[in-house]
Amino acid sequence: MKRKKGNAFDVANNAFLLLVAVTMLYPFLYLLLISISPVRQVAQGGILLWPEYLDFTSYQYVFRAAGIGKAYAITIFVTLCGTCLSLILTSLGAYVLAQPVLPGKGALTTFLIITMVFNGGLIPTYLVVKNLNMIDSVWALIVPNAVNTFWLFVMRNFFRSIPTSLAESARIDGCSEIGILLRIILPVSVPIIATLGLFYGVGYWNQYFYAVIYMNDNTRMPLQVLIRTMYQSTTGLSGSVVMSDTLPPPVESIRAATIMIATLPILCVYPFLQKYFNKGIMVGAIKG
Amino acid sequence: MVAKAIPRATALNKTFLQKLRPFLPFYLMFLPVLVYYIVFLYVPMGGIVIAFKDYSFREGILGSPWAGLEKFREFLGNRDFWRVLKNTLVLSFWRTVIGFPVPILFALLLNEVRRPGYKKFIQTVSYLPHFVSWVVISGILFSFFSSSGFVNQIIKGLGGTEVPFMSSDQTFVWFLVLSALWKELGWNAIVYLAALSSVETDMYEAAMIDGANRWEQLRYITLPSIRGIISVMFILSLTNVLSVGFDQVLVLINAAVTGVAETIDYYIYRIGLQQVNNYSYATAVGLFKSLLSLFLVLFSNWGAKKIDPEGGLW
Repeated sequence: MKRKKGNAFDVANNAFLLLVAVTMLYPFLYLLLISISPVRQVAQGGILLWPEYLDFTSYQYVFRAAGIGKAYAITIFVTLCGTCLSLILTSLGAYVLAQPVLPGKGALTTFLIITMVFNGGLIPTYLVVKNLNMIDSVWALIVPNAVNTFWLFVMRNFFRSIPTSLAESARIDGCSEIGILLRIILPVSVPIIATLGLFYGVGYWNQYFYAVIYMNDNTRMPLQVLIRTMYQSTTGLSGSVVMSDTLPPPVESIRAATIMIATLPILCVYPFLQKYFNKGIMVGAIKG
Repeated sequence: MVAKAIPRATALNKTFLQKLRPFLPFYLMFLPVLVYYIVFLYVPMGGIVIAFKDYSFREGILGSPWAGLEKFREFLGNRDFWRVLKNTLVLSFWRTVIGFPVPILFALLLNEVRRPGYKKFIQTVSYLPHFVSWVVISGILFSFFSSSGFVNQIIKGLGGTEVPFMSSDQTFVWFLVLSALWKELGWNAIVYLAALSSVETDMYEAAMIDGANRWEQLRYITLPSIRGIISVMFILSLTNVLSVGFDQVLVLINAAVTGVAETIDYYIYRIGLQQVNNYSYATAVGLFKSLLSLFLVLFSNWGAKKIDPEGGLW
């Protein structure tokens, strides 16, 4: 009953998909290559195929530039605190709405769903953040967007798929509701916690626009804003940043190194969490 | 009468509260979530009122004088508004026509791959651009598509002339559409892959015994079983028709292409926060946008239910 193997379609399909994958991987590899190639080789211009030897001058240059350490610290802080806060709020909301019996559950659900199809928009939200005195505070990058309603419902659906007998027996043993969530529900929800943790984390790490509007103080820029600024400042001129004794590396090297610095942490994390995606999404995305 | 009624009411309240009492822990757990939604989502909804006012910092939201529908008249008579509305619709039209079916196609092709390891590898790689910020992607695109970038060097090497991908009205819309497709292709395929992997294999086996070839299996088993999720995803995608990729536009827009690249969201940002701080005007445009997309979602949900009673989001 096995399907015929290795026919023309399979070969063409595999080759096509490989091509698609190459277009997604190669740009990153190419920039990685530029960033670790000798600056002299990059300065010659043309398309680079392989570095003559490894050279990390451009990384040294970028790290010596003003503010990158601080930007890293801010972004790491925002990502860690933000992901924790997001997961706490999301799982609290999801757990309560996943209860089979709860008076007012329908109203609370509607209350959340309305925000998915209608919202105040940019300016009114900005004014709220401003009136809370959060402008120029890192908390403006964390709190105003802490919960993604769609993901909250994905988590709720995941919780619903857990047999209720687990929670029931703990309840009979006198466990508190928060205890049930922490000790019974969350440990069996690793796929969804890992998946949403990654989504939230990546969201905070990549946050750019909110930093642009909420952080006016140039000395407290998160990584993405700083990178954007550095990138733009190298567009017209090279080497205005620090450096005096030696010639700065070519613009291409600096840019490639900057991009790698912002991207590597994510590239290192996501393949390991990927195994949870399918399971988490599949159970969670069932319409309900 | 009154004296009689009061004890009865409190008695009723008491039993009502007594009924709720066992659920108290749940309400307490929900409280932080409720506070978050009220402060950051519902209070801004109330703040929309400044669209009907002449907002000034000094007088605040409540103190500012009423302006009625003046701001709406103002933007409806402004050619810039119609230009950005048209840009947004053109952009989202192409993003839907290309960006919606291609991930489905990708999922179907990936689903045909026999070797699980190979499939997994392609899938993992295809997620990669999704996890990278538009700031970084714009840098990568610049390295590849600027006048001295990778692609133009190849074109020139082959004897062609330089193509201004990122700074020409003709190419920029395609540049936005295709770069977004590239970034989100693998990611948008996830939902369909999940749906495809839950199709029962017995169905395929039965079809093969009946002599169905692969095309027929696709046509009569695979596609019907993911039809529901396709319609749900389509309606969800309509919620974003008027807010197409704001980060993307924000980092890729340049002086040469604002004529075709400025979207409603960018316009709201430019008028409201970046250039002139015209809060009331920008909020009015934002309200118009929200109402229009709300209407689109309700309408398409109604349409999906007409076609298929099981379809639709709710």
